[in-house]
Amino acid sequence: MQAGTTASKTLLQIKDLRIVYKQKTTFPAAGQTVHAVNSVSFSIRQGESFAIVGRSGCGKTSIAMSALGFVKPSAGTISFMEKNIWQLNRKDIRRLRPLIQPVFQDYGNSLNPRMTVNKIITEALRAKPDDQTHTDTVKQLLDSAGLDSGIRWRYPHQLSGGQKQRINIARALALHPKLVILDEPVSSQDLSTGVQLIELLNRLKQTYELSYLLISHNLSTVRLLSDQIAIMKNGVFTEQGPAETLLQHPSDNYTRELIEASNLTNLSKTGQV
Amino acid sequence: MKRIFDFIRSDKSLYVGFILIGIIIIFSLIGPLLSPYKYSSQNLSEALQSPSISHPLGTDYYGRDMLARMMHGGQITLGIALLATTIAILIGMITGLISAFVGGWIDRILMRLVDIMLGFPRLFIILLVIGMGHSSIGLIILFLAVFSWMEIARIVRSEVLVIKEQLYIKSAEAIGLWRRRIISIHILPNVMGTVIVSSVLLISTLILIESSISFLGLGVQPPNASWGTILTEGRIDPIGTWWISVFSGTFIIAAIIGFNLIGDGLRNILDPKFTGNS
Repeated sequence: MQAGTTASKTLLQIKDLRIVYKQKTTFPAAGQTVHAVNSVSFSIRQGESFAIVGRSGCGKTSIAMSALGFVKPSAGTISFMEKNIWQLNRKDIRRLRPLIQPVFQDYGNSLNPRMTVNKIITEALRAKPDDQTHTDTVKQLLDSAGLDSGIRWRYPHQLSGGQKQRINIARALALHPKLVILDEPVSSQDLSTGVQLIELLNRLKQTYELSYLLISHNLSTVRLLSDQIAIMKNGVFTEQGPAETLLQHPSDNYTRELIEASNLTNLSKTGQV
Repeated sequence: MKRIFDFIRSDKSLYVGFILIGIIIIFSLIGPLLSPYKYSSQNLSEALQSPSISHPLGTDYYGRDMLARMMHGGQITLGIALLATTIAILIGMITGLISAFVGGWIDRILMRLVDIMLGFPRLFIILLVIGMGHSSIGLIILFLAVFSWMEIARIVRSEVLVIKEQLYIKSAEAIGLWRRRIISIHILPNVMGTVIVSSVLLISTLILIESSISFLGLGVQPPNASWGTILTEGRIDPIGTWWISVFSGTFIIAAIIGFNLIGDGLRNILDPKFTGNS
């Protein structure tokens, strides 16, 4: 478990967030609505990891997408560095965007299949792909993500799942973000690759003083990466608190169920059941 | 150059198609420079000569060298098809992009327009419109393009709708790239494969339509000649002047087969997974 993180300034603050999806139909009145997120509030301090845990469809990815500026909230505020991101003009949003970077679950789909690793990362550095001054930076970023620099001339389909996810991490780092939104970063990986990625993410967090918003359905991943945990069910937080306290003394039955499920998953992965 | 050659050789259909179309293009563009005859020069004393050494493809009713006319016809037929396809691609791509990106009522209006345009039998409408007015090469190109962009628009719209939801587009947005850069760097290159394949297949369709219009006497008018115009000259006595119909028909068929082979070959190759340096 993550310990000793120095909590300081609030980086991301979400207040009374509501996200409602409306079904698009020819007649708008006939469209159904889905309440994905209902009055969710939390904040992430600089250098802190906050995890949202819940089963598929509970609304956790909607929160992440909204914090990234992709899904407009129906109500509530999302403030990043004390600025409501949904009230900024396009120019200010572009200026702010590099500071919040995503690492998606679908690592393969996150990389343009027609671009080499070098192009993918240099694009993030906003330089021409053949700009020699950025070669060292690309190599350094790949090295930070635990990859050999020779990999930079490869295309995504020539990489393994773990390597693809590391490229996604390297690209996110290229922009010197303050907050990285990790949407199920290791759920599609095998156990050993997952563990290596968690170690990498923990190391990067220390090195670059990153904050994480971790989205996961698996508490075994979350316990290795987060300082704060919120349990989410049907669009609301059922329990929220420091990771250690919440995992050792859960007050809600749903949290106990998730802990039990993650213990079983761990046992089955290590071959003990 | 070697990479292009290797790319063409990587698929048999593409290879054969390129050879066929390459021969036809060289024949049409370079041939007239080497030919001793002009496509419009008449010599009635040599009218309707069957193929011989001095006239390898024979002569027509006015004693014009059929080889020179075939070369000129190639320029006209291919020129019309290529220009009309280029215009159709431009209209189709712009419409498809606007439709997919703007969405809402603009998308609905544009797609209904596509539906209406697709509802018309293309050849019939072109014949009707051209038949009512004065036929010219410019007009033929324009009408072929105006009635051919819809498939491209639909393809581009559906591809863009899929691609813009891909996570690498979201990642590009998260980096802070401008929308126009996302379109030009991330979306268009991923759409182009399908557009190129459809366009190559459209060229062969337009060659056939232009030849049909010209065969019916509504297309390219004398002294110009397309392969369709030449074909129609052979219908007066198809047996006695067999070389007129056979050679012009062969060129039309060869060009259509060639472009279809290129289209099929490109469809096989233009999958993102094949473009890497594997």
